[in-house]
Amino acid sequence: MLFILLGVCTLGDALGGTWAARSYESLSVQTPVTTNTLSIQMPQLQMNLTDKPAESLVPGAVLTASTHVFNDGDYEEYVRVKIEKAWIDGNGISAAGADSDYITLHTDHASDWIIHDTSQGSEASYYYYTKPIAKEAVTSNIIDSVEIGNIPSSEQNLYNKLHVQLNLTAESVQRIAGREAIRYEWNVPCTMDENGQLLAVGDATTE
Amino acid sequence: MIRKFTAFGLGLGMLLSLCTTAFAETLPTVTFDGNAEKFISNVDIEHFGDAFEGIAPGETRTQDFTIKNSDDQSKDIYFSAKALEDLLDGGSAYYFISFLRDGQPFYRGTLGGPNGALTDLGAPDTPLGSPVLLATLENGESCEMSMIFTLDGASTGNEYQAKDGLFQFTFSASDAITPAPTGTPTPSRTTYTRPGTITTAKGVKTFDSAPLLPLCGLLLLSLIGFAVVNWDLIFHRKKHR
Repeated sequence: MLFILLGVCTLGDALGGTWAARSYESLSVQTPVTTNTLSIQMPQLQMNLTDKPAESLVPGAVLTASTHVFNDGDYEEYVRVKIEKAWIDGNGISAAGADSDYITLHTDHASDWIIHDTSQGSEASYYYYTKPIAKEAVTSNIIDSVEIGNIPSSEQNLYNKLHVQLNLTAESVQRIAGREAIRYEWNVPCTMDENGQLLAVGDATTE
Repeated sequence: MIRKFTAFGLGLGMLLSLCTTAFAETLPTVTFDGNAEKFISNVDIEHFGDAFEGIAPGETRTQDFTIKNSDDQSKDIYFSAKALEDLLDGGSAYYFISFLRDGQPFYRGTLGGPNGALTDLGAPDTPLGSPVLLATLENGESCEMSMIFTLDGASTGNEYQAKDGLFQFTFSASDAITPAPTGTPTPSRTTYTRPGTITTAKGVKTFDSAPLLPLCGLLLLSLIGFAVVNWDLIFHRKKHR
């Protein structure tokens, strides 16, 4: 009996030693965590088409008009530009029945942009710049010229005195976690290569 | 004179670039000083690394640091973290945090949210903010730690741009629970590590002695019970004889 009780006491002492481990003065350090700014700028179209004399907008006319997107934020960014085409009258009101398909946009850097129509019956298309734009860098021109289509003579009265209006709206998301950002913010899937270059957007993706 | 000035300018330029390099390469090191019985840091404790400056939602950043024990005895080194200031007033940004010790992952949790506390994802029942056992270090031993943070993109929107926050990390130490015999290599650094997997450091709550007391009571009772039973058997055998 004495042997067994001694054994119990020894075990108790051993366990007691573990919870009596001495602790020392701790050290607290602080580390800042900060975020930067996401920002872009888009210069006005170099030619304001609504100010052009209506007489110059004859069928088949090609007018130069260019713009690009500039990254003035702190992060590398992906950019897309929403382009809405419309025929408007002298009061700036959209002309009923006028077909925006007679307004064709041309770019000299077609391989830099992926065009994704919204397929919602609207006249808007989204132009996705395939490369992420570094801080203080610019995209290539989204548009270099605008062409007025060959409007059949039977329809030309409808377009008489109308103006071409282009509305461009640029948006950007961060390159970091870019695929997720594009899907979450722009609600479209996309395919990228290992360098972060956009290969496909929307239905053509192979996610 | 012009040549001298040019030479001075070049020299100064080279000196400045050397200084810049040296500063940039300063790895934060936390040393447990056995004489002072406290930790010392080789960098400003209000600016412990700059790895998380300019982080973007969804981005992963890594802050490397070294912990060292300069005490005669082996020490258990613990770590706790808290998001002292969120990036946004009233915000609740989450950070996924994981640790690598000498390149091996051993802890995975979250930091931040409404209470800013550290949550052990590997042991959900662990109380918020419980310290993590980083390593058991012998005298003069050190190990390289990597603290990996990912700012959760789902909890941070545009309103989180150009914001400042603050993490607080606390290092603490206690005498190692099982000191290794002097002069023999210690296996303590692999005790909590399973290469290739992320595991939770068991014994995170070793500062809390409460769970040990009932265990001791149970052991004591079972041993007394065992003794009584055996005593009874022996007594009965003798009596039977």
